[in-house]
Amino acid sequence: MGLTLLWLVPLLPLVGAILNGVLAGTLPRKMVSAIGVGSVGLSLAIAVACFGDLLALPPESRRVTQGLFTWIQSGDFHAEVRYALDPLGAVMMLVVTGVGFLIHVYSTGYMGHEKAYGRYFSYLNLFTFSMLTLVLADNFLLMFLGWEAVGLCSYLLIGFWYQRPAAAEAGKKAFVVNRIGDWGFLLGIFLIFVTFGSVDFATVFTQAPQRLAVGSAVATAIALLLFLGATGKSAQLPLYVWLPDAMEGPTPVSALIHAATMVTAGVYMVARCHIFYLLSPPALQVVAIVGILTALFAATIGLVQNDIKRVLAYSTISQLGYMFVGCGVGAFASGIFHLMTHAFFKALLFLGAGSVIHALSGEQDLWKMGGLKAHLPWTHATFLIATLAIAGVFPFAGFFSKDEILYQAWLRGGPLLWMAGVIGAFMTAFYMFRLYFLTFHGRSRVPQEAKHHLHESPNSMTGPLMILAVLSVIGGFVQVPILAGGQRLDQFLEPVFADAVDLAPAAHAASAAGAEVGLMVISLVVALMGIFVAYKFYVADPELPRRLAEQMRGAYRLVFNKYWVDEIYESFVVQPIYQGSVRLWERFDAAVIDGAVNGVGRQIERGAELLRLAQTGYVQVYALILTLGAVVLIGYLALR
Amino acid sequence: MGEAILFTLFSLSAVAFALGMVFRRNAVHCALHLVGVLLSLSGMFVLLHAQFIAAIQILVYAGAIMVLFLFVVMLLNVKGETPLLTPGSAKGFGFFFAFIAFVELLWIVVSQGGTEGEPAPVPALPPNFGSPAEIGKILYTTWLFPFEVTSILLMIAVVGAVVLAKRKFA
Amino acid sequence: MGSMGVPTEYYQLVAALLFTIGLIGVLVRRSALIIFMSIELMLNAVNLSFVAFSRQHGQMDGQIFVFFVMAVAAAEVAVGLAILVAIFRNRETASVDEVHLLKG
Repeated sequence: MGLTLLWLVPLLPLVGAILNGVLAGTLPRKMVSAIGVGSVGLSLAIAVACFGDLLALPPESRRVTQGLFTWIQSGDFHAEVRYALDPLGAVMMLVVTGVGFLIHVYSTGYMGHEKAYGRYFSYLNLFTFSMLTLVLADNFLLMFLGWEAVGLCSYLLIGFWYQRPAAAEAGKKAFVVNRIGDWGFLLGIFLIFVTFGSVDFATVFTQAPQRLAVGSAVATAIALLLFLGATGKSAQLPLYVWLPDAMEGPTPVSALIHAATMVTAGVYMVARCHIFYLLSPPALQVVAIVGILTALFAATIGLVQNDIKRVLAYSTISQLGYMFVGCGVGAFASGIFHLMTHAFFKALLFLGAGSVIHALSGEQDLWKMGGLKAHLPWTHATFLIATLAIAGVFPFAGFFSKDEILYQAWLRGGPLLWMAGVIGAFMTAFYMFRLYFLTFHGRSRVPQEAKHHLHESPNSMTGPLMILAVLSVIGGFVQVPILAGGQRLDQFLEPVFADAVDLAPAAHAASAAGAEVGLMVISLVVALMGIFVAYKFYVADPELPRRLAEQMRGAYRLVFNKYWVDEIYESFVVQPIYQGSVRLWERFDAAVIDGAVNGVGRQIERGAELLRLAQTGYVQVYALILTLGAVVLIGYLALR
Repeated sequence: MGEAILFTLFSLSAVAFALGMVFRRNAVHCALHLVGVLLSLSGMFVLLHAQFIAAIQILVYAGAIMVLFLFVVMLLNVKGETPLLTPGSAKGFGFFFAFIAFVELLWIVVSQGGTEGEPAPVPALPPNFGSPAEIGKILYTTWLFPFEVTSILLMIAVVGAVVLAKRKFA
Repeated sequence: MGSMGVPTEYYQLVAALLFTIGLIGVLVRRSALIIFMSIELMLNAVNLSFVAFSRQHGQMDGQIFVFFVMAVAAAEVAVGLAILVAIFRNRETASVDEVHLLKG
């Protein structure tokens, strides 16, 4: 039953979006909530049913497609609107609908006082539809449609409070930066079509190993172009700059789009197109290197940021880097595993942060928080769980997924990559607990007037927090390492990545249970060290950070100012383009093009003034001219 | 032989009436001259085995259309024109172009004739050629659609004429 | 009787002559009424040509054309004379050289 309704999974949120969008402002709030939450809830129910049906199938036939209609048919080019469900898509679909549903519920509380309530839910539903289209698409073009649509929704939701110039600017920035990545993605699709004559996943992926040799230039070009798209959408170096600014949007949006789902689209896409990366070892290496550099780079910035959401944003960038490391060493299932657990605990972190911000009437500065543990018990408890999860403490979800990536990095990427990953893990533990301690512990730095309003959030907000907390605790157990038969997610995803086995990079080190346990212990120790250092800095001796910052003034300023990347982009990319555009406008558009257009118009006017004289108003002059024409024509025909 | 005599007679009268129509000052006289042309042509149609056309030439043209002309002439009460022809160089050009057109038509007629200057022979025709029955047969089969379109055209013309000639249209 | 008849070319010559006379009328006369009559003359010249060719080719389609030409001519006269009446009512003239307001 479930699988035949697959098409309803993306469609229901679209219906919700249209209803809420068209009827925005006329429906009562309760109705808007019912439509917005209900459509995604129903979609989730069908998604679970589909998942159950998929599990019932034998593993090798777990790929179901459902064509809706032919979208484009032109010559050799053919694109269908067709949804496909396979294990990879199923994982993504469950994450999107599941986390999406919780965040919709949360939004009814968080955005309760918002005027444009209908518009908000319309956008949110539209996003859910787009994201589901992206992950369930059966060809590159439909995937690109979803890809662009989630970008549009991201733009709309970042700029949701468009009255604020910062929000409008941030939305614009996200849109423009993403466009660079999309350009690469689109070129990649073109190249795929030119090479294979099709954009269907099944056709392209089965033909790729036969048509393209390992290491061939075409495979590398396709892989790198697609990865450029992924760096834009998933906020990797060098296109990560839009994500921190995207925090201008409402917090549930940050949780859904800029932490749990949309930004992971790049990881999903790389995993989906893994065959191209496996055919091109250099591209695979690029993925791993960009991933690890981003992970470290963003983590260092996260160490010193003071805005609660920006810390989380940099943490997201860093975690996405880990996912790409997993993909980059050929362990795509590990990347997807981390994607899933990250969706749980990062959504929880953002929603918890939202709860804090809600309680403080919009305050986001860490230095104006502190001691909130007593006031927000549920938020505190769930936030602590999420922080432990992202720090990688046993037995929370992040421990399993991050360690699997680190283990795979050790196994196939070498000790250096592993080492860098461990350093990143240390920083993650540190900055996350810095955030936690500054928010919930220590002396309260909340201003007096805000203190009066301090309150725990309503059930509609704490409910999703608790569910996500449970998921953050148990989410890791779908993939228990070492234990025989414990790798359920691996087994589930195995049909998708089966073709990867013989192409995957050779392991640098022998896979051994002993080594794995050893590495796990090391990373656990590192995480605990990070937590301890954070405790030392921000609880035991609050003056220590300042002294350290004084001592390492240069390094501190470098990191605090985010390596001046925004400023560098501004002066080396944005300003030249802007100035050049102004020149082009003044010198070329205004002078040459407008001149040509106006000149042609003026000449025609002048010619028309001359020609006007021919219209005398005397009928017989017209008759004469008519006769002249006839005479000439007849003469030509007679004497020919 | 009889046909040749009649042809000569009709053609001479047609041309003479035509010249009279174009160069007479009085509009009523012009109209009557035109009637003469139409009658002459009707005679020639009979010579050309087009009895039905000849009949409606008299009925429609000489009967209906010319009556309409005379009616308008009297309605407008046009006096004889003081300068007969248009002033200025237009009339010179008019004569000139008309002359060239005539030369060209002549050239076409002469050059399209039978070989070595001999006129093409006139074919023998079936006795009922041009009879109303035969005309009706093809008019209501092959030419049915144009025929119906023509009826619509006439209706439009009637409506148009009524609207145009109404005393005041605001 | 075959070759006894008057050759088609002669009829064509008469048609050409009548057509030219009509053309002269259209081009040189001032009165709009006479111009209309000249146009009728030109149409009749063409009709003669049609009928002559009809006989030459032994097909009655030419006569059908004449039939249609007459219908069109009737329509044209009706509308044309209506316009003429309207002009005359407004301008008190039927001379085409006095009606030339529509000019560039």
